[in-house]
Amino acid sequence: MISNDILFELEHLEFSYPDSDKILDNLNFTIYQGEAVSILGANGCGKSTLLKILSGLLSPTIGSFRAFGELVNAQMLQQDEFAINYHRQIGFIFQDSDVQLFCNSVTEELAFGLLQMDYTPDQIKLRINEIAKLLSIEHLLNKTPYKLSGGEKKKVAIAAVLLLNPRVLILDEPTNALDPKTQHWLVGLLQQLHQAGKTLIISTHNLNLLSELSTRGILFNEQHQIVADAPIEQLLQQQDLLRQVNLI
Amino acid sequence: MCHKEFIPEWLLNNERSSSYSAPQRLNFLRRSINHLSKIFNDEIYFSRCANLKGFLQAIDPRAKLLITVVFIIIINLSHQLTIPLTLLAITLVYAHLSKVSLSKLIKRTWLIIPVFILVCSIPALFNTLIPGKPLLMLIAASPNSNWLNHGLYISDHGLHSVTMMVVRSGCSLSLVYLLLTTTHWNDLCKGLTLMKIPVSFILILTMTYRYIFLLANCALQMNEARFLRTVGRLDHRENRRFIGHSMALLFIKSNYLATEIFTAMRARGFSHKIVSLKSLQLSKIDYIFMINNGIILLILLAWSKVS
Repeated sequence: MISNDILFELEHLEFSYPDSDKILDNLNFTIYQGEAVSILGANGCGKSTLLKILSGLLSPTIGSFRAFGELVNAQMLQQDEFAINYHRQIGFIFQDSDVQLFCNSVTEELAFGLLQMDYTPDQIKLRINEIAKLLSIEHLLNKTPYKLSGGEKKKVAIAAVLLLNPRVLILDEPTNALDPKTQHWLVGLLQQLHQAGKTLIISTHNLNLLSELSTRGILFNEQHQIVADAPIEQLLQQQDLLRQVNLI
Repeated sequence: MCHKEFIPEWLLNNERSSSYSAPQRLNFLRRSINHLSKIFNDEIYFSRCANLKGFLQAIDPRAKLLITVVFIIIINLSHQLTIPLTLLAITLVYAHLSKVSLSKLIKRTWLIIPVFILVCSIPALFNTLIPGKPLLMLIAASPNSNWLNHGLYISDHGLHSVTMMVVRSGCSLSLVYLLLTTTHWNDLCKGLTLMKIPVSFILILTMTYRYIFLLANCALQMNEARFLRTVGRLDHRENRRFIGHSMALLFIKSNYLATEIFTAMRARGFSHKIVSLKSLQLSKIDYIFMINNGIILLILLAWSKVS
């Protein structure tokens, strides 16, 4: 269900923190609505930084970044109206779900986004129940998030983001620290969301799940540059290249 | 398991909420994120500076520590501006020779705490607290008034005291900043141990240093998550409640993290002994550095006595 609508367009994009070397070097690629893209690379190659740029947490140091047809830069992200509109369209699921949960109970965690929109309390309750049923977390609704297990925290983090119904889901190492059963569950959920038209951008180095999670792969080398951008099956066959970037 | 039949209609439809009235102000979250990110940027900068091949980087941490402590004591005991200002000039020369950015040093050490001290000590400028010769008369003397029979003015002693306080704090901070930018943390701790500083004190410093980055990272990501999920406006009551919960949660997590870090240190053989890969040994250059600085101090003290 890939459409011709361009969601993200990066041209000669570079990023570095003050007083440090380049973390992203000359990135050029486009992501279309409905794609499922994996960002691949060894640890420290800049995957998480790229995801933070795509989600509007960081802005590029050099180069241009367009999202949903608009130029996104530090000045634009400083505007509250633009930033909030941007956040509504993108759901970011952190690698460590523990830090993503900041409320006193799971219900409050799930309600946080909806309370800021024009939903009535009944609608909020209904949506929370629906999403809880989808993710099988009904029994966790009254619990404190930080006391949950790793897999449960991940489910709550995903539910909190899904309730905002974003166009794009960005997941940073989604299968990290999850047991095989929860990994399998997560892959199933992401496949269904992709079929429902959501755009998925996933950073991972779990090669076993790649073909199930995405249709396209963008491969980084350790010099923070893109060395391949190809259909995932084709990319996985290039064993020499994967070895060269220290992924296998 | 995820059940396909349970996927809500609204999630399949890609519906867009139309609510868009008066969005939440994000400045507080942005500022928090920027401040927390700065902790990591500073750490990167400090460790880069400590790796440079500069003048102070080549000096043994104990020699640097000793000179820094002696300089700070002299600065804080002196009553004349010339001594702290001369030592500040020496600090800046050392910073330049050690390839530490002077603009960063001045910005970090002179723009916050000394300015804060200046603001707090404004009352000390006036003759009501520190009498002296009037420099600037604000309210003329009135013999009938019980309170202001000498008037209200900025006194010379008051101005001198406030200036000394600000200069002392700025100079001391500059010295500490220079020490931290040119010395690796582990070497500094080992230097402290070799100087017979109580282990419990160094242990608290080490734990704080390790822990602060984890806590800052935790707080940073919590703020980022909240920032990304701020998609409209919360009423003030709800907003206060969420902020309160976040703070409480961070406190609980910090307690948990502190225990985790100590357990991890113990699991890796930590036994209250400060270790560093570098074997610290005072060389000829360290002795020359200490003697030279000692001579500079003696000249300064003698000159201040004469003048």
